Amino acid sequence: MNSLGAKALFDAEVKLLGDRLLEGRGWVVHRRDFPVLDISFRGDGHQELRLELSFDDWPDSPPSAIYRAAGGGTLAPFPPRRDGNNIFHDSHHPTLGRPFICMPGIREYHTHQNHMNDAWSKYRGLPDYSLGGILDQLWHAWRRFWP
Amino acid sequence: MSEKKNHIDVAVVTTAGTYPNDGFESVALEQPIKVELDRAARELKITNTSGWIATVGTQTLNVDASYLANNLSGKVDIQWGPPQRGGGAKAS
Repeated sequence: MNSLGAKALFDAEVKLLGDRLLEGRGWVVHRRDFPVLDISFRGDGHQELRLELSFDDWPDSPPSAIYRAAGGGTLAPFPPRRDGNNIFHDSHHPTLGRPFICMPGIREYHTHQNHMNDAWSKYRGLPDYSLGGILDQLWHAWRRFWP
Repeated sequence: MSEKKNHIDVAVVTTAGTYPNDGFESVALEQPIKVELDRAARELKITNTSGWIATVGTQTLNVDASYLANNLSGKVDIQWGPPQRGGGAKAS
């Protein structure tokens, strides 16, 4: 898909993130200008999780995710988290050299050497891997693991 | 509170849209929650909701049970969507 098509799809999917959903879930959108969706998850007694997701090459490639400090701007380390099979990896990504989110639907997962055989093409187009579906999954992981 | 006795006002909120689009739908308290979720999936044209999680606040709902059995009443927005599906293995 060319960049115009990617932008049109991004805009259509982001438009579905209405006030009722955002307020009900404690989601705060800081920026939603293609290709960047900068969003925070807040509430439920957890520390804020702020992610900058880049949807360049969407949906041919999944979004890249960068964890930001709550105030934005600074690339931050992940805080200590609850036990479990955790998608928030402190170890540095072999090509990016920074902590990353290890979950299908996030670019850093599919480009990691351990997951090169788990291609994005297996997931692309499934409801759970739409822009909103990926946010759902990240939100549930945050509720489960985040301090 | 729903104007109908023994009813609850419900909306299903997903990242694909909300059903109903505005306000709430009045349904029987004894109705299994999954009935309204299935309806929302049809209306919002969501093709596969296998394993999706329904929550109200911090409560994860038993969608096979009724609103009453889930201790729900009044007006509720049910947040519905996929859980984290995979990943998380230790990276090397």
